[in-house]
Amino acid sequence: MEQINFRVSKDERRVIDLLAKIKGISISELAKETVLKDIASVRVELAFDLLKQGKIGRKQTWLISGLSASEFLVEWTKRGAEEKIPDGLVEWELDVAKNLDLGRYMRPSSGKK
Amino acid sequence: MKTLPCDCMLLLIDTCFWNHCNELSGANIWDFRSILSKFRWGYTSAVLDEIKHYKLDRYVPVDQALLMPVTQAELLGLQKRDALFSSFDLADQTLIAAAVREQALILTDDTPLQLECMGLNVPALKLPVFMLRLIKDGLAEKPVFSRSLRFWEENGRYRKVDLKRWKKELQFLQ
Repeated sequence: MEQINFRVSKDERRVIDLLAKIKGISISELAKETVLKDIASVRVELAFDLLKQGKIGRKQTWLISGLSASEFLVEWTKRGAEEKIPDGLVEWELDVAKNLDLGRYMRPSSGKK
Repeated sequence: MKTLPCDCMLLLIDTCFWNHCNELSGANIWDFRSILSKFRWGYTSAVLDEIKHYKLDRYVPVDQALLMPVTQAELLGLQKRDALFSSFDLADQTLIAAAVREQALILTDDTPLQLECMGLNVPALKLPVFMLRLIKDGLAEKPVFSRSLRFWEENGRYRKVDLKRWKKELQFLQ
């Protein structure tokens, strides 16, 4: 677990104390609950916005979205999401594949070519 | 789980790649696990944590993998060598570091990781291109790849332009 510290004004502190008391939870529990609730509602939108802007790739989008493996794929399809791929990467990859000796990655007993 | 590094080269597989394999398998199109035992393959403990976090260990045969250790010195060395390296999460950083040391092939469906590999001269393939290569080596069948392409197109898994390019590559294969 990680810890986050932040400063608040005296007035803000009074409000937080009061809310925590009313809810019957500690200040840290209240802060955590409030922050995570807010983040949960915006993180999927934020993740796919950043992807659209080309600022992040597939994996970071998944991470920020907070979705499960299958939920993420469903959301990807629903939104028509796409990664920004620089020119040249696809051809580089095909060249790598063509020049690869796949047999070198195989187990000796697997009847490699 | 095996922890000793092996003599020959290996495949290092990332979480995005596994997620897409799991999806294809769930759609009854192709199951990567059917040929996985032919390869030496592995991951790092940070990747394993991700696989477990996303509950992909229901699909990934984690006990058959080689667990590749990565030292702090290896990570620091790559951070000095490449400014962008630090922007990757621990799973990606350790995967790259292990690949550099082991001369491994990274299988990833994450473009930023693949770009970093390109910069560091580490071979890295996405699932469709890896499948194309498997077809060339007689380890996968063309109709299976055609079905995969249709599935990816219907689900928008990859860009249309890339799907078209891969389809063209498929036609060149015997």
